[in-house]
Amino acid sequence: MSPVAPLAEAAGLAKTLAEFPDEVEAAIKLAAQQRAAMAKARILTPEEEAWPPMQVLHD
Amino acid sequence: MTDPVWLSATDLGDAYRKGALSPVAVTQALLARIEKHEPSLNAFIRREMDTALLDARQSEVRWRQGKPLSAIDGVPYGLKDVIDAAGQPTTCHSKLRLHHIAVHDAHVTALMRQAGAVLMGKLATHEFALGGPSFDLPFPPARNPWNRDHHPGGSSSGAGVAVAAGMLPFALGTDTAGSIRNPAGACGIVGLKPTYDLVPRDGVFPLAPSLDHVGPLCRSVADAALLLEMLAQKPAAYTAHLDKGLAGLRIGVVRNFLALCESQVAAALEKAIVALRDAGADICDVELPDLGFLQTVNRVILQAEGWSIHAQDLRNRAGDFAVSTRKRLLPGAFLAAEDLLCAQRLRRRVITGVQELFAGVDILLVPNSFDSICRIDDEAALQHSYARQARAPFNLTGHPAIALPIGFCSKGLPISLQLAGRYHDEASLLRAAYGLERVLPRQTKLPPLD
Repeated sequence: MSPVAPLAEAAGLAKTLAEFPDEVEAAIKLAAQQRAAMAKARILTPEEEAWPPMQVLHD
Repeated sequence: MTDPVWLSATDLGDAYRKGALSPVAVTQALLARIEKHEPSLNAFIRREMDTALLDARQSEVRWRQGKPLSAIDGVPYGLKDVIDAAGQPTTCHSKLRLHHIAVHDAHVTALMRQAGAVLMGKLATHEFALGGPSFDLPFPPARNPWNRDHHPGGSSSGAGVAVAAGMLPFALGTDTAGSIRNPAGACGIVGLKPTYDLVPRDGVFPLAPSLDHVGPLCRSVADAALLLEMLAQKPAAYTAHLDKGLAGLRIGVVRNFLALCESQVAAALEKAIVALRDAGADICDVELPDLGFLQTVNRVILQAEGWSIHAQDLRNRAGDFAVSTRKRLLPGAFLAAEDLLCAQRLRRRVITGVQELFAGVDILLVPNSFDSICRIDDEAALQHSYARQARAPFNLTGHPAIALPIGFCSKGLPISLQLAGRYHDEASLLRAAYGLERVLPRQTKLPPLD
């Protein structure tokens, strides 16, 4: 079974999947591609970087 | 005297002070020009002709009494239609917001009102400052005044078009991945994205709040400095630093990005670099991380934050979005918390890297667009050029960046350069941009509209 429907349903997008199946499938693929692209960068361990790193300071 | 429709905000203020021009006459001249060219340019979502004339008359009284509210009292301007003006619709160029009426002014609109600027109307954008250019929305996409078949840049498209076409001396736009600098570049004007949160965002419909910036699109670097003085949350005299020259400024050329440029864009950038060096700037080469990596990190954050804003509508009425907006927002539904955290960790690392670069230089010089401007209906070329731009990195880091015109390509369309500066050092950034504007050949060409 394609993983598209369960993923779309989990995101609350069952109606959108019915209307725009190609777009929902493309969105799932793009999210996965981006995840893979970010995984190429070495993720630092908690010992190597301050945690949590969510706060983005601009000054 | 130059036709007032081509004067900058600074020049208009000077002319009002000297009594050489009046706010009413200038507003009427601009309204006539808008009436003539708007049908072929689609810069406006909504025009405010009656209230604009009323505001101009009040301004004229203040100037006559010697009591102007500011240096831009009586200067007409426009707002990208994601920025609230009390009592007016903020449509975000979307079917989903056609009936929304703003109750209050956005903070920046209130600041412009306090300064006496004359609001001429709300300007076209890409839907929700994303997507586009789209032909499946309630309003048509804005057209580039240099060639109406070509893309005017986005998403502050109407702002770029209106200023470049002589319809407005300046406009306010927003920039989440380059949306002030892109139309400024494509339309041959100046666009400033200040340091993150230097200009207040309340009353501005968000796209991705941690990446969103508000700033001016205008005719000159001096105007960008003047407008920033009025918009910034921290008082500063940016105009006072403009004329300090380029000598001693250390400018790092981001070589790995210049290497990606199409040949005529690269040639124009190299000429600008020579001009900067000849004027005394200290030029060196630097590198930023891989562009694709930076774009990915920016996109993941944008999609995650954008999804959180539009999730309900994407679930219940997805067909009311333009196709391109929907395609750009939907991936956010499939990102995990881990993905967003990963992007934020990488973002932090990028910020540290750029901060380290700024330990050795005052300014970074970067291309604005790598490619010359494509046709508005060439979907493949649009996708290609949007994936290849060096604007989003400075949304990711929050550093201030300015786009300014440096010439024209063989098709007669503008070529633009981007400078970035240290956090809250807009004074040096504007000084460098002003210096460059002065040493480049004076721009006298106008869009072929008349």
